Amino acid sequence: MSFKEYKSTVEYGDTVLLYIGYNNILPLIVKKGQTHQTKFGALPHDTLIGKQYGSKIHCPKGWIIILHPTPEFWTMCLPHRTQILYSTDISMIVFQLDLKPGSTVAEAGTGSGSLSHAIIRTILPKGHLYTFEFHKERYMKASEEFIQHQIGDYVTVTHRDVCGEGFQLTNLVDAVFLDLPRPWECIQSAKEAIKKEGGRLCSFSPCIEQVQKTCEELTKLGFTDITTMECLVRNINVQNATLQNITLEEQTAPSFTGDANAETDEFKSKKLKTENADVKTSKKSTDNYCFPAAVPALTMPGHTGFLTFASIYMH
Amino acid sequence: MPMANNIIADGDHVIFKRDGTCRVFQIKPDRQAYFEKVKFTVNDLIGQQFGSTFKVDRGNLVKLSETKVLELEQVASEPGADNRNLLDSESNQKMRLEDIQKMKSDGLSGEKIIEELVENSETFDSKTSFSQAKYLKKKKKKHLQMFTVLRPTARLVMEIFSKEPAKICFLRPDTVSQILNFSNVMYGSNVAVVETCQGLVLACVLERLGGHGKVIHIVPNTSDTLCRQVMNYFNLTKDQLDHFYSVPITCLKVETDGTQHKSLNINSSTEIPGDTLVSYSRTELPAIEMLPDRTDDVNEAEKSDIMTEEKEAEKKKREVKREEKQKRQEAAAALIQNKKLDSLIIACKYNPLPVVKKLIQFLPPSRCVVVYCQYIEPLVECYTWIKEQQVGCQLKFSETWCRDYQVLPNQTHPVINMSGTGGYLLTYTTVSKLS
Ligand SMILES: C[S@@+](CC[C@H](N)C(=O)[O-])C[C@H]1O[C@@H](n2cnc3c(N)ncnc32)[C@H](O)[C@@H]1O
Repeated sequence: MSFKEYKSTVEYGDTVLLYIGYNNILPLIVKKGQTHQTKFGALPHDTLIGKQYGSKIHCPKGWIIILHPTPEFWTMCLPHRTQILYSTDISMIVFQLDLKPGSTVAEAGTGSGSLSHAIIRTILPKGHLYTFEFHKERYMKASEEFIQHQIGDYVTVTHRDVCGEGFQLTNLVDAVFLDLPRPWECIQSAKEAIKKEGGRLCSFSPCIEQVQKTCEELTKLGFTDITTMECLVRNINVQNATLQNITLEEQTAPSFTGDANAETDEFKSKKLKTENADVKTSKKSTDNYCFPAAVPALTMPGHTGFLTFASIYMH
Repeated sequence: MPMANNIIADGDHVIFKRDGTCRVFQIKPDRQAYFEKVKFTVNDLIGQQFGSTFKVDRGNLVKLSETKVLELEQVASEPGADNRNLLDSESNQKMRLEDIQKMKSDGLSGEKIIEELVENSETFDSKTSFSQAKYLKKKKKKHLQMFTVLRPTARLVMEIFSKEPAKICFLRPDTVSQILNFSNVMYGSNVAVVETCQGLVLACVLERLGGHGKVIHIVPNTSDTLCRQVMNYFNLTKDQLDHFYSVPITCLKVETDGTQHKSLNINSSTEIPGDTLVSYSRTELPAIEMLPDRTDDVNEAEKSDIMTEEKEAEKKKREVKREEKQKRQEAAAALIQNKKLDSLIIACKYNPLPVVKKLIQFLPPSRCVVVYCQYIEPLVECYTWIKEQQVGCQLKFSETWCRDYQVLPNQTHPVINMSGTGGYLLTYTTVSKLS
């Protein structure tokens, strides 16, 4: 149910994750008397009650696993209302912003709340996230979701244009995160939001021109340690790979066996095998080189966005 | 209004940062620090605010004002400036290296040295104003011994190791960040950690617990001294360290009768040398010496003359400490055996598969496991085994690629050098065995 702590069994009102297969996860709010249609047939919600998280549930045409929600799973299956940030970038953002329990953070815009969940997980219970979204419906949806996920106490969602009206926070936050089309327009306001003793800022932008303007503004406003980076994940698959061994020497030359001293034992035994084998069966698997291979995915996302980080010390 | 906890205090570990270079240092009165080829006394740092910038003048620290720092930081940039008449810049300098070194040893300030350099440069006047600014900036960087003093954070500590990643199993910030997120470590979590990264992973996890929950370092039952040096860098409070435990892997037994483990038959002779809780005493900081170009001299004489009667008391204290440690070990083992763990993190130089096989038996279902290895092959084995045994779902095997960029007006490009590897990561979620 909740993103704020683990619980062991499912209750009504919980948000559970249905694990159908690799990278195929669906969120479900468990409600009395309702039925959910899965690709394996009907799943009456009531059958989930009291089940341990992580257990397998039998459906008419197969089984699924019910999982406890985590921000990483949520990122995989949340309803997209905007482009979202994924876990590789999110991890880096949380780490580079020095977030930990107790940190206060300002974020704009909220978007689909993908990053917000990971931030809240890290800063609760004493920290707080102030997140801003100027799109009315997204603002409302995000607010509802945080409450449903029982993390509403740790976040304040504000419906506002931060570029036009600013964050309206003074010396309050340890870190600011920006995922906006024109981040440079609110950096002055972000600076005011950061605590007097200093803090961190991150801006995520897909285009290099945005990064350039952002860095210029950051420098102008006295931010230091400005770094820009790009982070990509390469997924690896393990497969049993087979490569054919080919014959490297002429097999019929009998004179070759004459000089026994020049042969290594290994070579001798190999040759014995080849000589004993029927020509037709020589393509058996013993002649193949088989091994477990780590194979990267054939295609992968080659760009998400540039992450720009900066510090401001006492200001 | 500076906050009290933002003040540098005696005994604190601090980070000296200058451009890309970070060094950790423990503040002690009259201690000499050696950073970026300059020696100075750290006395003046006590009572200053974290985030302050200093320059070194004849071995003394001078605090720089905020405006002065900004002025020195500003980059003059004008790309593609005309430099067709410029020859190899070093040969245009009449001053030789020895001259500069002499000025330094005479205690001349960085500003004065730069002045001299400009005066003795044949080409300075013929440079475009852009090149002049660039020249000045370069020289300032080199000769003004400026650095900022910061409170250690996981991010800064990672920077210390960026030039010697072998010491932390080639972990990179992007990998560490993923270990912390994919393990779902949060306030109050119970986390088992197998690591040989000098305590770096343990410290990062402890920081994310916010003084609640438990970090249990699972250690091999060998006599090797376990180094958890890096934990000291984080200035963890006694309160935070109370949530740190360690337990030898051999003490963990899988329950067979389904009853709760109350008392455990932990062999009390199981003693792990060097496996004491982190303490701030100077004598227990051996690894700090492993950092390059450090010449901090401590008063060695102080340590050596301990009175004999003090020795007796010391012995008693050790006995109490040993018992305390034993109790904590048992508590940690009981927690694990009662399946109260929330996350398992493995990032070590041990062969991971046997460790994975043993430890995942203690995890409840729907919990996160993260296995890091600097090599790909051992994780291929783990991946295959986990898949075959169906002990988990959403099994993900990955590596990350991370590239830094130089961003300057019209001179934006990837940084010339980048890290070739940050190791490999295996993550999955436990499930209950199909009944
Ligand atoms: C790409 S989305 C953010 C996605 C989010 N980081 C996530 O992980 O789900 C950008 C959001 O910023 C909002 N936005 C854009 N400009 C804004 C502004 N000036 N003030 C507030 N929100 C703004 C947009 O409505 C959009 O929802």
